[in-house]
Amino acid sequence: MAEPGRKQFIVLPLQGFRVPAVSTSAASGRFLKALAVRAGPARLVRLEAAPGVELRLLDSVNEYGAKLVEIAPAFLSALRAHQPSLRLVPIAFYHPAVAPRVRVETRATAAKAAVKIRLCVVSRKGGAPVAGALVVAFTDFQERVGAQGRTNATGEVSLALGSATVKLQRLYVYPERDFWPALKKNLTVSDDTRIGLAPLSLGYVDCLRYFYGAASPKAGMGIKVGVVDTGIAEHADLDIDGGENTVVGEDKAEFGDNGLGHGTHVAGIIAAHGQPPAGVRGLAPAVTLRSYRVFGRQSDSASNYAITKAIDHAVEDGCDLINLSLGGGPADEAIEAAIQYARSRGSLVIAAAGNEGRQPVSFPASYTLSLAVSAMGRKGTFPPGTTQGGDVASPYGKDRKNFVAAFSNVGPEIDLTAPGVGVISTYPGGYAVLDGTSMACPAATGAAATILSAHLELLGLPRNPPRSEAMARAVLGRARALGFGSLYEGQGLAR
Amino acid sequence: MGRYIVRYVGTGLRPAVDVQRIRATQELTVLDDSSRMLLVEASEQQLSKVVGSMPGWTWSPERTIRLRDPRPKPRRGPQG
Repeated sequence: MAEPGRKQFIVLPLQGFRVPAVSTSAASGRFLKALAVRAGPARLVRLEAAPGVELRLLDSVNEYGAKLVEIAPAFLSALRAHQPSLRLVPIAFYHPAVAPRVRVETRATAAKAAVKIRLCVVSRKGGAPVAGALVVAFTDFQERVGAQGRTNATGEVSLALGSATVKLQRLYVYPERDFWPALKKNLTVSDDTRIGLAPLSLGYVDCLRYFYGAASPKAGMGIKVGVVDTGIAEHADLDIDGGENTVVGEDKAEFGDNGLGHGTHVAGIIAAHGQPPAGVRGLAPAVTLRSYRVFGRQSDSASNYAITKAIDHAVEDGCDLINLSLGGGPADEAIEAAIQYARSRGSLVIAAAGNEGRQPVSFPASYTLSLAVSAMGRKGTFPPGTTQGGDVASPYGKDRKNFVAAFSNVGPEIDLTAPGVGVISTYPGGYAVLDGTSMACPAATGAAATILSAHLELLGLPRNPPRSEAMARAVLGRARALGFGSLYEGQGLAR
Repeated sequence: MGRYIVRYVGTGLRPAVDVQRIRATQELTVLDDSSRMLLVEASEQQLSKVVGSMPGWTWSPERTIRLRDPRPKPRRGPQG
Protein backbone atom coordinates (compact mmCIF):
# COMPACT_ATOMS: atom_id res chain seq x y z
CA MET A 1 0.00 0.00 0.00
CA ALA A 2 1.16 3.55 -0.70
CA GLU A 3 1.90 6.00 2.11
CA PRO A 4 -0.98 8.41 2.89
CA GLY A 5 -1.19 11.15 0.29
CA ARG A 6 0.88 9.22 -2.25
CA LYS A 7 -0.03 6.78 -4.99
CA GLN A 8 2.01 4.11 -6.69
CA PHE A 9 2.79 4.28 -10.40
CA ILE A 10 4.84 2.23 -12.83
CA VAL A 11 7.19 4.48 -14.83
CA LEU A 12 7.62 3.04 -18.32
CA PRO A 13 9.41 4.06 -21.53
CA LEU A 14 7.28 5.36 -24.43
CA GLN A 15 6.98 1.83 -25.82
CA GLY A 16 7.50 -1.55 -24.24
CA PHE A 17 9.08 -2.10 -20.84
CA ARG A 18 12.68 -1.10 -21.50
CA VAL A 19 14.35 1.82 -23.28
CA PRO A 20 15.89 0.51 -26.54
CA ALA A 21 19.70 0.51 -26.64
CA VAL A 22 19.75 3.39 -29.17
CA SER A 23 17.81 5.65 -26.79
CA THR A 24 19.62 5.08 -23.51
CA SER A 25 21.34 8.46 -23.82
CA ALA A 26 18.00 10.29 -24.32
CA ALA A 27 16.55 12.21 -21.36
CA SER A 28 14.06 9.44 -20.58
CA GLY A 29 16.80 6.78 -20.65
CA ARG A 30 19.08 8.82 -18.41
CA PHE A 31 16.21 9.43 -16.00
CA LEU A 32 15.31 5.74 -15.74
CA LYS A 33 18.95 4.82 -15.22
CA ALA A 34 19.25 7.42 -12.48
CA LEU A 35 16.36 5.72 -10.68
CA ALA A 36 18.63 2.88 -9.60
CA VAL A 37 17.31 0.78 -6.74
CA ARG A 38 19.72 0.30 -3.87
CA ALA A 39 19.55 -2.06 -0.95
CA GLY A 40 17.79 -0.69 2.13
CA PRO A 41 14.72 1.48 2.55
CA ALA A 42 12.89 2.97 -0.43
CA ARG A 43 14.91 5.82 -1.94
CA LEU A 44 13.58 9.40 -2.05
CA VAL A 45 14.32 11.10 -5.39
CA ARG A 46 14.00 14.86 -5.89
CA LEU A 47 13.58 16.43 -9.35
CA GLU A 48 16.21 19.10 -9.78
CA ALA A 49 14.22 20.97 -12.41
CA ALA A 50 11.09 21.03 -10.23
CA PRO A 51 11.86 22.18 -6.68
CA GLY A 52 9.72 20.53 -4.04
CA VAL A 53 8.74 17.60 -6.24
CA GLU A 54 9.86 14.25 -4.90
CA LEU A 55 9.07 10.62 -5.49
CA ARG A 56 9.89 7.44 -3.64
CA LEU A 57 11.55 4.70 -5.66
CA LEU A 58 10.21 1.29 -4.63
CA ASP A 59 11.36 -1.21 -7.23
CA SER A 60 12.97 -1.57 -10.64
CA VAL A 61 12.65 -4.16 -13.40
CA ASN A 62 16.12 -3.35 -14.75
CA GLU A 63 18.52 -0.44 -15.35
CA TYR A 64 16.69 1.06 -18.34
CA GLY A 65 13.38 -0.61 -17.60
CA ALA A 66 10.19 -0.07 -15.65
CA LYS A 67 10.35 1.46 -12.17
CA LEU A 68 7.80 1.32 -9.41
CA VAL A 69 7.49 4.70 -7.71
CA GLU A 70 5.31 6.38 -5.13
CA ILE A 71 4.36 10.02 -5.66
CA ALA A 72 1.80 12.54 -4.44
CA PRO A 73 -0.86 13.08 -7.18
CA ALA A 74 -0.21 16.83 -7.01
CA PHE A 75 3.35 16.19 -8.29
CA LEU A 76 2.34 14.07 -11.29
CA SER A 77 1.92 16.99 -13.63
CA ALA A 78 5.43 18.25 -12.77
CA LEU A 79 6.91 14.78 -13.31
CA ARG A 80 5.20 14.49 -16.70
CA ALA A 81 6.46 17.95 -17.65
CA HIS A 82 9.97 16.90 -16.55
CA GLN A 83 9.85 13.59 -18.47
CA PRO A 84 7.18 13.86 -21.19
CA SER A 85 8.38 10.70 -22.99
CA LEU A 86 7.74 8.38 -20.09
CA ARG A 87 4.43 6.70 -19.36
CA LEU A 88 3.01 6.79 -15.83
CA VAL A 89 0.64 3.88 -15.28
CA PRO A 90 -1.29 3.74 -11.99
CA ILE A 91 -0.69 0.46 -10.21
CA ALA A 92 -3.80 -1.72 -10.31
CA PHE A 93 -5.01 -4.34 -7.87
CA TYR A 94 -7.41 -7.01 -9.07
CA HIS A 95 -10.06 -8.56 -6.84
CA PRO A 96 -12.33 -11.58 -7.08
CA ALA A 97 -15.38 -10.80 -9.18
CA VAL A 98 -18.00 -10.89 -6.43
CA ALA A 99 -21.55 -10.72 -7.75
CA PRO A 100 -23.32 -7.45 -6.87
CA ARG A 101 -25.90 -7.62 -4.09
CA VAL A 102 -29.55 -7.09 -4.84
CA ARG A 103 -30.90 -3.74 -3.62
CA VAL A 104 -34.36 -2.26 -3.24
CA GLU A 105 -35.30 0.25 -5.93
CA THR A 106 -37.57 3.23 -5.17
CA ARG A 107 -41.05 2.44 -6.36
CA ALA A 108 -42.31 4.72 -9.05
CA THR A 109 -45.58 6.58 -8.49
CA ALA A 110 -47.98 7.08 -11.36
CA ALA A 111 -47.49 10.53 -12.85
CA LYS A 112 -50.53 12.76 -13.31
CA ALA A 113 -51.41 13.78 -16.82
CA ALA A 114 -48.91 16.45 -17.85
CA VAL A 115 -50.17 19.95 -18.56
CA LYS A 116 -48.07 21.76 -21.16
CA ILE A 117 -46.91 25.35 -21.15
CA ARG A 118 -46.00 27.12 -24.39
CA LEU A 119 -42.93 29.35 -24.16
CA CYS A 120 -41.70 31.67 -26.88
CA VAL A 121 -38.00 32.41 -27.54
CA VAL A 122 -37.24 35.66 -29.37
CA SER A 123 -34.34 37.94 -30.21
CA ARG A 124 -33.88 40.70 -27.67
CA LYS A 125 -33.18 42.98 -30.62
CA GLY A 126 -36.31 43.28 -32.80
CA GLY A 127 -38.25 40.34 -31.29
CA ALA A 128 -37.77 37.91 -34.18
CA PRO A 129 -38.50 34.26 -33.23
CA VAL A 130 -35.48 32.02 -32.53
CA ALA A 131 -35.99 28.58 -34.05
CA GLY A 132 -34.15 25.40 -33.02
CA ALA A 133 -33.25 26.59 -29.50
CA LEU A 134 -33.04 23.92 -26.79
CA VAL A 135 -35.15 25.01 -23.80
CA VAL A 136 -34.49 23.21 -20.50
CA ALA A 137 -36.79 24.03 -17.57
CA PHE A 138 -36.24 22.81 -14.00
CA THR A 139 -38.89 22.96 -11.27
CA ASP A 140 -36.34 21.35 -8.91
CA PHE A 141 -32.79 21.85 -10.12
CA GLN A 142 -31.10 19.82 -7.37
CA GLU A 143 -33.20 16.76 -8.24
CA ARG A 144 -33.13 17.62 -11.94
CA VAL A 145 -36.95 17.59 -12.20
CA GLY A 146 -38.18 19.34 -15.30
CA ALA A 147 -38.78 19.15 -19.02
CA GLN A 148 -37.01 20.14 -22.22
CA GLY A 149 -37.77 20.72 -25.89
CA ARG A 150 -36.72 22.64 -29.02
CA THR A 151 -38.37 25.73 -30.41
CA ASN A 152 -40.19 25.47 -33.74
CA ALA A 153 -40.01 27.89 -36.68
CA THR A 154 -42.10 30.45 -34.76
CA GLY A 155 -39.81 30.23 -31.72
CA GLU A 156 -42.35 28.25 -29.65
CA VAL A 157 -41.81 25.20 -27.48
CA SER A 158 -44.38 23.28 -25.38
CA LEU A 159 -43.09 21.79 -22.13
CA ALA A 160 -44.92 19.30 -19.90
CA LEU A 161 -44.43 21.10 -16.58
CA GLY A 162 -47.49 19.79 -14.72
CA SER A 163 -49.67 22.91 -14.40
CA ALA A 164 -50.70 26.06 -16.28
CA THR A 165 -48.46 28.37 -14.22
CA VAL A 166 -45.19 27.11 -12.82
CA LYS A 167 -42.35 28.61 -10.83
CA LEU A 168 -39.11 27.42 -12.37
CA GLN A 169 -35.96 27.27 -10.28
CA ARG A 170 -33.92 27.49 -13.46
CA LEU A 171 -34.63 27.95 -17.15
CA TYR A 172 -31.80 27.37 -19.64
CA VAL A 173 -32.18 28.39 -23.28
CA TYR A 174 -29.48 27.20 -25.71
CA PRO A 175 -29.84 28.70 -29.21
CA GLU A 176 -28.22 26.71 -31.98
CA ARG A 177 -26.20 29.72 -33.11
CA ASP A 178 -25.97 33.51 -33.46
CA PHE A 179 -27.22 34.30 -29.89
CA TRP A 180 -25.90 34.00 -26.37
CA PRO A 181 -27.60 31.26 -24.36
CA ALA A 182 -29.77 32.47 -21.45
CA LEU A 183 -30.19 31.37 -17.83
CA LYS A 184 -33.16 32.62 -15.80
CA LYS A 185 -33.54 31.78 -12.11
CA ASN A 186 -36.76 31.72 -10.06
CA LEU A 187 -38.97 32.58 -13.01
CA THR A 188 -42.74 32.04 -13.04
CA VAL A 189 -43.93 30.97 -16.50
CA SER A 190 -47.30 30.43 -18.13
CA ASP A 191 -48.51 30.18 -21.75
CA ASP A 192 -46.76 32.60 -24.11
CA THR A 193 -44.07 33.71 -21.64
CA ARG A 194 -41.40 35.29 -23.86
CA ILE A 195 -37.70 34.69 -23.33
CA GLY A 196 -35.37 37.20 -25.01
CA LEU A 197 -31.91 36.20 -26.22
CA ALA A 198 -28.99 38.59 -26.75
CA PRO A 199 -27.64 38.49 -30.33
CA LEU A 200 -24.00 37.54 -30.70
CA SER A 201 -21.52 40.26 -31.49
CA LEU A 202 -18.34 38.87 -33.05
CA GLY A 203 -16.28 41.71 -31.62
CA TYR A 204 -17.16 40.70 -28.06
CA VAL A 205 -14.15 39.93 -25.84
CA ASP A 206 -14.98 36.40 -24.66
CA CYS A 207 -12.61 34.38 -22.45
CA LEU A 208 -10.58 33.20 -25.45
CA ARG A 209 -9.94 36.74 -26.68
CA TYR A 210 -9.37 37.98 -23.14
CA PHE A 211 -6.50 35.57 -22.52
CA TYR A 212 -4.99 35.42 -26.00
CA GLY A 213 -5.93 38.71 -27.66
CA ALA A 214 -6.06 38.96 -31.44
CA ALA A 215 -3.78 36.38 -33.07
CA SER A 216 -1.36 37.41 -35.77
CA PRO A 217 -2.45 36.13 -39.22
CA LYS A 218 0.84 34.18 -39.28
CA ALA A 219 0.38 32.44 -35.91
CA GLY A 220 0.75 28.68 -36.24
CA MET A 221 2.43 28.82 -39.66
CA GLY A 222 4.20 25.58 -40.55
CA ILE A 223 2.14 23.49 -38.10
CA LYS A 224 -0.31 20.85 -39.30
CA VAL A 225 -3.23 20.18 -36.96
CA GLY A 226 -5.65 17.25 -37.15
CA VAL A 227 -9.10 17.72 -35.60
CA VAL A 228 -10.59 14.33 -34.76
CA ASP A 229 -14.25 15.19 -34.27
CA THR A 230 -17.69 15.51 -35.92
CA GLY A 231 -16.17 16.91 -39.12
CA ILE A 232 -15.63 20.54 -40.13
CA ALA A 233 -18.21 22.47 -42.18
CA GLU A 234 -17.23 24.76 -45.02
CA HIS A 235 -17.10 28.25 -43.53
CA ALA A 236 -15.88 31.66 -44.69
CA ASP A 237 -13.46 31.81 -41.72
CA LEU A 238 -11.96 28.33 -42.21
CA ASP A 239 -9.61 26.78 -44.76
CA ILE A 240 -9.60 22.99 -44.63
CA ASP A 241 -6.56 21.36 -46.18
CA GLY A 242 -8.16 17.91 -46.37
CA GLY A 243 -9.07 15.01 -44.18
CA GLU A 244 -10.97 11.77 -44.00
CA ASN A 245 -14.18 10.29 -42.69
CA THR A 246 -13.13 7.15 -40.81
CA VAL A 247 -16.67 5.99 -39.89
CA VAL A 248 -17.07 2.44 -41.16
CA GLY A 249 -19.69 2.29 -43.91
CA GLU A 250 -19.59 6.01 -44.77
CA ASP A 251 -17.84 7.78 -47.66
CA LYS A 252 -14.27 8.56 -46.59
CA ALA A 253 -14.39 11.82 -48.55
CA GLU A 254 -17.25 13.17 -46.37
CA PHE A 255 -15.21 14.84 -43.69
CA GLY A 256 -17.45 17.91 -43.44
CA ASP A 257 -19.87 18.57 -40.57
CA ASN A 258 -21.98 15.55 -39.57
CA GLY A 259 -24.92 17.75 -38.56
CA LEU A 260 -23.85 18.53 -34.98
CA GLY A 261 -21.49 21.48 -35.52
CA HIS A 262 -19.14 20.50 -32.70
CA GLY A 263 -16.05 19.95 -34.88
CA THR A 264 -16.63 23.22 -36.75
CA HIS A 265 -16.62 25.12 -33.44
CA VAL A 266 -13.48 23.27 -32.29
CA ALA A 267 -11.73 24.01 -35.60
CA GLY A 268 -12.53 27.72 -35.41
CA ILE A 269 -10.97 28.04 -31.96
CA ILE A 270 -7.72 26.74 -33.45
CA ALA A 271 -7.69 28.06 -36.97
CA ALA A 272 -10.42 30.57 -37.87
CA HIS A 273 -8.93 33.43 -39.89
CA GLY A 274 -11.81 35.92 -39.88
CA GLN A 275 -11.61 39.53 -38.79
CA PRO A 276 -14.05 40.76 -36.13
CA PRO A 277 -16.70 42.12 -36.27
CA ALA A 278 -17.38 40.39 -39.61
CA GLY A 279 -15.85 37.07 -38.55
CA VAL A 280 -13.85 35.40 -35.81
CA ARG A 281 -10.19 34.54 -35.45
CA GLY A 282 -8.74 31.49 -33.72
CA LEU A 283 -5.46 31.24 -31.88
CA ALA A 284 -3.41 29.97 -34.82
CA PRO A 285 -5.03 31.08 -38.11
CA ALA A 286 -2.05 30.05 -40.24
CA VAL A 287 -2.02 26.34 -39.31
CA THR A 288 -2.72 23.72 -41.92
CA LEU A 289 -6.07 22.34 -40.75
CA ARG A 290 -7.23 18.77 -41.39
CA SER A 291 -10.58 17.23 -40.52
CA TYR A 292 -10.94 13.60 -39.39
CA ARG A 293 -14.61 12.80 -38.92
CA VAL A 294 -15.19 9.95 -36.46
CA PHE A 295 -18.86 10.57 -35.62
CA GLY A 296 -21.44 9.19 -38.05
CA ARG A 297 -24.09 11.37 -39.71
CA GLN A 298 -26.20 13.11 -37.04
CA SER A 299 -24.60 10.84 -34.42
CA ASP A 300 -23.04 11.88 -31.12
CA SER A 301 -21.19 8.62 -30.64
CA ALA A 302 -17.95 7.46 -32.25
CA SER A 303 -16.35 4.02 -32.24
CA ASN A 304 -12.89 3.46 -30.86
CA TYR A 305 -12.03 1.99 -34.27
CA ALA A 306 -12.91 5.21 -36.11
CA ILE A 307 -10.96 7.27 -33.55
CA THR A 308 -7.93 4.98 -33.71
CA LYS A 309 -7.95 5.03 -37.50
CA ALA A 310 -8.26 8.82 -37.50
CA ILE A 311 -5.27 9.22 -35.18
CA ASP A 312 -3.19 6.80 -37.28
CA HIS A 313 -4.04 8.62 -40.49
CA ALA A 314 -3.49 12.06 -38.98
CA VAL A 315 -0.01 10.88 -37.98
CA GLU A 316 0.64 9.46 -41.44
CA ASP A 317 -0.61 12.71 -43.01
CA GLY A 318 2.05 14.59 -41.04
CA CYS A 319 -0.10 16.26 -38.39
CA ASP A 320 2.09 17.72 -35.66
CA LEU A 321 -0.81 18.19 -33.26
CA ILE A 322 -3.93 16.05 -32.96
CA ASN A 323 -6.94 17.50 -31.13
CA LEU A 324 -9.31 15.09 -29.34
CA SER A 325 -12.29 17.00 -27.93
CA LEU A 326 -13.98 13.73 -27.00
CA GLY A 327 -13.75 11.03 -24.42
CA GLY A 328 -15.38 8.88 -21.78
CA GLY A 329 -15.68 5.29 -20.70
CA PRO A 330 -12.92 2.95 -19.64
CA ALA A 331 -9.37 3.11 -20.96
CA ASP A 332 -9.14 1.58 -24.40
CA GLU A 333 -6.17 -0.42 -25.60
CA ALA A 334 -6.61 0.48 -29.27
CA ILE A 335 -6.77 4.24 -28.70
CA GLU A 336 -3.81 4.03 -26.31
CA ALA A 337 -1.84 2.19 -29.00
CA ALA A 338 -2.70 4.91 -31.53
CA ILE A 339 -1.63 7.70 -29.15
CA GLN A 340 1.58 5.79 -28.46
CA TYR A 341 2.09 5.44 -32.23
CA ALA A 342 1.56 9.21 -32.61
CA ARG A 343 4.21 9.94 -29.99
CA SER A 344 6.58 7.46 -31.60
CA ARG A 345 6.17 9.34 -34.90
CA GLY A 346 6.80 12.80 -33.44
CA SER A 347 3.16 13.95 -33.05
CA LEU A 348 1.44 15.27 -29.95
CA VAL A 349 -2.12 14.36 -28.91
CA ILE A 350 -4.10 16.92 -26.86
CA ALA A 351 -7.34 15.73 -25.23
CA ALA A 352 -10.31 17.19 -23.34
CA ALA A 353 -10.56 16.27 -19.66
CA GLY A 354 -14.35 15.73 -19.78
CA ASN A 355 -17.44 17.59 -18.55
CA GLU A 356 -18.78 15.52 -15.67
CA GLY A 357 -18.20 18.19 -13.01
CA ARG A 358 -15.13 17.54 -10.86
CA GLN A 359 -15.08 13.85 -11.76
CA PRO A 360 -11.80 12.08 -12.61
CA VAL A 361 -10.24 12.98 -15.94
CA SER A 362 -11.90 10.89 -18.65
CA PHE A 363 -10.16 8.67 -21.18
CA PRO A 364 -8.22 9.31 -23.46
CA ALA A 365 -7.16 12.53 -21.70
CA SER A 366 -6.31 10.35 -18.68
CA TYR A 367 -3.82 8.37 -20.77
CA THR A 368 -0.36 9.42 -19.73
CA LEU A 369 0.90 10.08 -23.29
CA SER A 370 -1.84 12.58 -24.16
CA LEU A 371 -1.88 16.13 -22.82
CA ALA A 372 -5.04 16.55 -20.71
CA VAL A 373 -6.78 19.94 -20.69
CA SER A 374 -9.24 21.23 -18.08
CA ALA A 375 -11.58 24.17 -18.73
CA MET A 376 -11.43 27.54 -16.99
CA GLY A 377 -13.35 30.77 -17.36
CA ARG A 378 -13.27 34.40 -16.32
CA LYS A 379 -16.03 36.52 -14.86
CA GLY A 380 -16.86 39.47 -17.08
CA THR A 381 -16.14 37.62 -20.35
CA PHE A 382 -19.80 36.66 -20.85
CA PRO A 383 -22.89 38.88 -20.59
CA PRO A 384 -25.01 38.84 -17.42
CA GLY A 385 -27.99 36.47 -17.52
CA THR A 386 -26.27 33.91 -19.73
CA THR A 387 -25.85 30.20 -18.92
CA GLN A 388 -22.11 30.77 -18.41
CA GLY A 389 -22.95 32.31 -15.01
CA GLY A 390 -23.93 28.79 -13.91
CA ASP A 391 -20.42 27.52 -14.70
CA VAL A 392 -18.67 29.75 -12.15
CA ALA A 393 -17.23 27.67 -9.28
CA SER A 394 -14.23 27.49 -7.01
CA PRO A 395 -11.29 27.21 -7.09
CA TYR A 396 -10.60 30.77 -8.10
CA GLY A 397 -7.18 31.86 -9.27
CA LYS A 398 -4.70 34.40 -7.97
CA ASP A 399 -6.82 36.80 -10.00
CA ARG A 400 -10.19 36.12 -8.33
CA LYS A 401 -12.09 36.67 -11.56
CA ASN A 402 -10.60 33.45 -12.98
CA PHE A 403 -12.24 30.13 -12.09
CA VAL A 404 -12.15 26.45 -13.05
CA ALA A 405 -15.43 25.70 -14.88
CA ALA A 406 -17.96 23.85 -12.70
CA PHE A 407 -18.37 21.19 -15.38
CA SER A 408 -14.66 20.47 -15.82
CA ASN A 409 -13.18 17.15 -14.74
CA VAL A 410 -9.99 17.48 -12.74
CA GLY A 411 -7.26 15.34 -11.24
CA PRO A 412 -3.58 14.50 -11.28
CA GLU A 413 -3.68 13.69 -15.02
CA ILE A 414 -4.37 17.35 -15.95
CA ASP A 415 -1.44 18.86 -17.88
CA LEU A 416 -2.88 22.23 -18.91
CA THR A 417 -5.91 24.45 -18.51
CA ALA A 418 -7.46 26.71 -21.14
CA PRO A 419 -10.55 28.90 -21.63
CA GLY A 420 -13.71 26.84 -22.14
CA VAL A 421 -16.59 28.95 -20.81
CA GLY A 422 -18.56 31.06 -23.28
CA VAL A 423 -16.31 30.61 -26.31
CA ILE A 424 -17.41 32.26 -29.57
CA SER A 425 -16.38 30.34 -32.67
CA THR A 426 -17.37 29.20 -36.13
CA TYR A 427 -20.49 27.06 -36.57
CA PRO A 428 -22.26 25.67 -39.63
CA GLY A 429 -24.11 28.62 -41.13
CA GLY A 430 -22.73 31.22 -38.72
CA TYR A 431 -21.22 31.48 -35.25
CA ALA A 432 -22.07 30.01 -31.86
CA VAL A 433 -21.16 30.18 -28.18
CA LEU A 434 -20.29 26.83 -26.63
CA ASP A 435 -18.82 25.69 -23.34
CA GLY A 436 -16.84 22.62 -22.38
CA THR A 437 -13.46 21.03 -22.09
CA SER A 438 -14.16 20.38 -25.79
CA MET A 439 -13.52 24.12 -26.28
CA ALA A 440 -10.60 24.34 -23.83
CA CYS A 441 -8.82 21.52 -25.67
CA PRO A 442 -8.57 23.35 -29.04
CA ALA A 443 -7.58 26.52 -27.20
CA ALA A 444 -4.60 24.56 -25.82
CA THR A 445 -3.97 23.08 -29.27
CA GLY A 446 -4.03 26.54 -30.86
CA ALA A 447 -1.68 27.89 -28.20
CA ALA A 448 0.61 24.89 -28.74
CA ALA A 449 0.63 25.52 -32.51
CA THR A 450 1.62 29.14 -31.93
CA ILE A 451 4.46 28.11 -29.62
CA LEU A 452 5.74 25.39 -31.96
CA SER A 453 5.64 27.59 -35.04
CA ALA A 454 8.26 29.73 -33.31
CA HIS A 455 10.48 26.64 -32.83
CA LEU A 456 11.51 25.74 -36.35
CA GLU A 457 14.38 23.68 -34.95
CA LEU A 458 11.84 21.34 -33.32
CA LEU A 459 9.78 20.96 -36.44
CA GLY A 460 12.88 20.07 -38.40
CA LEU A 461 13.63 17.10 -36.16
CA PRO A 462 13.08 13.61 -37.55
CA ARG A 463 9.56 12.37 -36.74
CA ASN A 464 10.42 10.20 -33.76
CA PRO A 465 9.92 10.16 -29.98
CA PRO A 466 12.54 12.86 -29.21
CA ARG A 467 10.59 15.24 -31.48
CA SER A 468 7.28 14.70 -29.67
CA GLU A 469 9.09 14.89 -26.35
CA ALA A 470 10.70 18.20 -27.29
CA MET A 471 7.31 19.52 -28.46
CA ALA A 472 5.66 18.50 -25.16
CA ARG A 473 8.47 20.16 -23.21
CA ALA A 474 8.10 23.39 -25.21
CA VAL A 475 4.32 23.50 -24.70
CA LEU A 476 4.33 22.56 -21.01
CA GLY A 477 7.29 24.81 -20.31
CA ARG A 478 5.42 27.88 -21.59
CA ALA A 479 2.33 27.29 -19.43
CA ARG A 480 1.59 29.87 -16.75
CA ALA A 481 0.13 28.83 -13.39
CA LEU A 482 -3.04 30.78 -12.56
CA GLY A 483 -3.17 29.69 -8.92
CA PHE A 484 -5.82 26.95 -9.16
CA GLY A 485 -3.45 24.19 -8.02
CA SER A 486 -1.96 21.44 -10.15
CA LEU A 487 -4.93 19.06 -9.82
CA TYR A 488 -7.03 21.70 -11.59
CA GLU A 489 -4.59 23.28 -14.02
CA GLY A 490 -1.57 20.98 -14.36
CA GLN A 491 1.28 23.26 -15.41
CA GLY A 492 -1.15 26.13 -15.94
CA LEU A 493 -2.72 28.12 -18.77
CA ALA A 494 -1.59 26.96 -22.20
CA ARG A 495 -0.11 30.01 -23.94
CA MET B 1 -19.81 -12.95 -32.27
CA GLY B 2 -18.47 -9.45 -31.73
CA ARG B 3 -16.53 -6.72 -33.52
CA TYR B 4 -12.87 -6.39 -32.63
CA ILE B 5 -10.01 -4.09 -33.49
CA VAL B 6 -7.02 -6.19 -34.49
CA ARG B 7 -3.97 -3.95 -34.37
CA TYR B 8 -0.33 -4.41 -35.26
CA VAL B 9 1.79 -2.90 -32.47
CA GLY B 10 5.13 -4.28 -33.64
CA THR B 11 7.77 -2.13 -35.28
CA GLY B 12 7.68 -1.28 -38.98
CA LEU B 13 4.90 -2.17 -41.39
CA ARG B 14 2.39 -4.84 -40.46
CA PRO B 15 3.40 -8.23 -41.93
CA ALA B 16 1.37 -8.85 -45.10
CA VAL B 17 1.43 -12.59 -44.47
CA ASP B 18 -0.41 -12.08 -41.17
CA VAL B 19 -3.07 -9.97 -42.83
CA GLN B 20 -3.50 -12.64 -45.50
CA ARG B 21 -3.93 -15.27 -42.82
CA ILE B 22 -6.61 -13.22 -41.02
CA ARG B 23 -8.43 -12.61 -44.30
CA ALA B 24 -8.21 -16.28 -45.27
CA THR B 25 -9.75 -17.51 -42.02
CA GLN B 26 -13.38 -18.31 -42.73
CA GLU B 27 -14.58 -17.65 -39.19
CA LEU B 28 -13.21 -14.08 -39.25
CA THR B 29 -14.93 -11.40 -41.33
CA VAL B 30 -12.86 -8.32 -42.09
CA LEU B 31 -15.18 -5.28 -42.04
CA ASP B 32 -12.57 -2.58 -42.55
CA ASP B 33 -8.86 -2.32 -43.19
CA SER B 34 -6.58 0.49 -42.07
CA SER B 35 -2.84 1.06 -42.14
CA ARG B 36 -2.07 -0.62 -38.80
CA MET B 37 -5.25 -2.53 -38.02
CA LEU B 38 -8.33 -4.35 -39.15
CA LEU B 39 -11.92 -4.27 -37.91
CA VAL B 40 -12.95 -7.89 -37.63
CA GLU B 41 -16.21 -9.67 -36.79
CA ALA B 42 -15.52 -12.91 -35.00
CA SER B 43 -15.93 -14.88 -31.82
CA GLU B 44 -13.29 -14.08 -29.21
CA GLN B 45 -12.31 -17.75 -29.22
CA GLN B 46 -11.58 -17.76 -32.95
CA LEU B 47 -9.76 -14.47 -32.72
CA SER B 48 -7.61 -15.75 -29.89
CA LYS B 49 -6.77 -18.86 -31.90
CA VAL B 50 -5.70 -16.97 -35.03
CA VAL B 51 -4.36 -13.62 -33.82
CA GLY B 52 -3.06 -14.93 -30.52
CA SER B 53 -0.40 -16.87 -32.38
CA MET B 54 0.85 -13.84 -34.36
CA PRO B 55 3.62 -11.86 -32.65
CA GLY B 56 3.13 -8.10 -32.53
CA TRP B 57 -0.68 -8.18 -32.88
CA THR B 58 -3.28 -7.29 -30.23
CA TRP B 59 -7.05 -7.16 -30.29
CA SER B 60 -9.66 -5.35 -28.28
CA PRO B 61 -13.45 -5.00 -28.58
CA GLU B 62 -14.98 -2.20 -30.62
CA ARG B 63 -16.93 0.24 -28.44
CA THR B 64 -18.29 3.75 -28.71
CA ILE B 65 -17.49 7.10 -27.10
CA ARG B 66 -20.12 9.85 -26.93
CA LEU B 67 -19.71 13.61 -27.22
CA ARG B 68 -19.71 15.06 -23.72
CA ASP B 69 -22.38 17.73 -23.36
CA PRO B 70 -21.98 19.91 -20.25
CA ARG B 71 -25.56 21.22 -20.44
CA PRO B 72 -27.86 20.17 -17.57
CA LYS B 73 -30.69 17.79 -18.44
CA PRO B 74 -33.88 16.85 -16.59
CA ARG B 75 -33.82 13.33 -15.13
CA ARG B 76 -37.57 13.14 -14.78
CA GLY B 77 -40.67 15.23 -15.34
CA PRO B 78 -42.80 16.94 -12.69
CA GLN B 79 -45.47 14.63 -11.24
CA GLY B 80 -48.30 17.13 -11.20
